[in-house]
Amino acid sequence: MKDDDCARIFELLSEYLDQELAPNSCEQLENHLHGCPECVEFVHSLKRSMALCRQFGSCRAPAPIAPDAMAKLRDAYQKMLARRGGEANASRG
Amino acid sequence: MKRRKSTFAPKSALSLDDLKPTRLGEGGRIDIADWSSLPDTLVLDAELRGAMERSIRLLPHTDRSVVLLRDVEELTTEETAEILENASDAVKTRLHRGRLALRQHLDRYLRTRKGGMPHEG
Repeated sequence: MKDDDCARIFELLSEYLDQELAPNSCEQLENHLHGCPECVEFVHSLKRSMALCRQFGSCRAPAPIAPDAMAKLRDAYQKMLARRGGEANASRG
Repeated sequence: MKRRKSTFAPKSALSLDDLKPTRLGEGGRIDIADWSSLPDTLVLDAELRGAMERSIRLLPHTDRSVVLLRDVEELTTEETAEILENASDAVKTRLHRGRLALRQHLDRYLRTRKGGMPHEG
């Protein structure tokens, strides 16, 4: 990965794979991928690594969480539920 | 103001340059494991699960929290930012760095895995 184009797309790959990249950047990145099999290979490996994370999350036993971290998570979760409830009520109203 | 260094901070910060694959010789192909041999319908066996755990544990603390919440627990960027009390842009930066580091750890694991690639489930 010495080429400037390869280095530039290297910084954008997560946003690209999360489908959060601006359309013009996305087009430039895909144009580069069409002519660079090595970057395609790298993107493939990054994508597989992310897929392994998801599979790891769905099959692992829950790890013990420290009480303060659990309280923080519970608090954030409650806030998220309240916000979602508010959004649902707003869309119904 | 000088900030106190976290107990969990890595000895040296990971840079994106450290996470790029290297080329084999001048102008040669990139040095990368054969990820294409991993079947799409892969089921994590005990060995691969162990490799995932080790790879995640090796991530710097700040990047690990983001990878766990975004890619393992599948929360959104905004939800992750709220839990970690970080800006969304900081979450994205840490996620990218964490993903690249995790990919690099797994790449090393795939080269040394005994008995070849995992079986399709």
